[in-house]
Amino acid sequence: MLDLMTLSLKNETLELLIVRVAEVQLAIRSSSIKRLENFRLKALNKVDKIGHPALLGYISPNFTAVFDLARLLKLETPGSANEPDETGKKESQLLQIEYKGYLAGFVVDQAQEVVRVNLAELDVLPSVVEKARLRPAAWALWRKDEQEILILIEPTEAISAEEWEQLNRQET
Amino acid sequence: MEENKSSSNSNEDILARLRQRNENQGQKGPNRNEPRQRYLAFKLGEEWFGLEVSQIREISRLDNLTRVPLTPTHVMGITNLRGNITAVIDIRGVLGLERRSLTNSARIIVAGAQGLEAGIVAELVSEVIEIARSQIEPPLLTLGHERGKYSTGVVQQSERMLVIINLSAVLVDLKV
Repeated sequence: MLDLMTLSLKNETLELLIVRVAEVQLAIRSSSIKRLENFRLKALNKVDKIGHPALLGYISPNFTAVFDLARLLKLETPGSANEPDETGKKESQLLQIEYKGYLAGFVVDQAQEVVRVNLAELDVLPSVVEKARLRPAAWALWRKDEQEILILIEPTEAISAEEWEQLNRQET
Repeated sequence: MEENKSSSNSNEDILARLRQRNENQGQKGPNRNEPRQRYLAFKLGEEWFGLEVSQIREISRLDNLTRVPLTPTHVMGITNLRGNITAVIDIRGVLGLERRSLTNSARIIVAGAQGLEAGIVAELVSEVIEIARSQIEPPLLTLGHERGKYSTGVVQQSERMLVIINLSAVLVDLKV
């Protein structure tokens, strides 16, 4: 039985970019992504004082903060392909997302495909932790054809307002 | 005939001894008319645990798990069980047990209490047993703080001790 909310969302769709991060597939709203490009860690300007545990450094010319998305979302596993690459030669992809008037970069292993989904297909994630901590990942999508669950994330929500302020102070 | 007679005698002896043992046990022995509850026995590490069958919705194989970002280590992920997205948790850590790798025998026990529900990972699920309330002893102090906290009691069986899981306490503490 459809409730009114489901009914009102029935014809609304959302375009999602599916990315692979530390062997997990995640979906990010396409409309939030300003840029997607190939990326190598050695392209980063590292800073002496790192303001966030998942911050890898900054890229020119706009001094955009670049985060390791796996570390930011606590998806790293020992021995995973996402472990920091000391040589800086490993090729990843960089998503640039606008947040509060600034651009933030997020490193993913690989962008895979763009899909359009009906909003009514999105389910709220079971509350496996405090709701506040789940802000960046609050929705799940069951892809029937692939028999898999996709988790919809908002990477910028994983950075608190205080952390963001601190990063921007460092930038200036 | 002689053999049958001696066998019959020995059976009588055994029954008499069992009756005597039950009398000696007094209140502790289960009364035949006492209502019994059914528990699912499952294994974590080298220990056996019991979960009230009335709290269990289903038992499923452990596959197609999706990891969820920003979740604590006891959250193994989520899975789609007949259209329901269910959180799967590993309670070995909170029970102070070693988290060894899971085999094909592992199962997800989907259980709920007080409006909370989750899939609990079991290394092995064995059987459903009937237990009378009088057979359940208070949690042993030797179980350790964590296991004592998440247990409503223990049942001593012939070859094993079954720790009865306090499902509400587990689910509330793990924020499911």
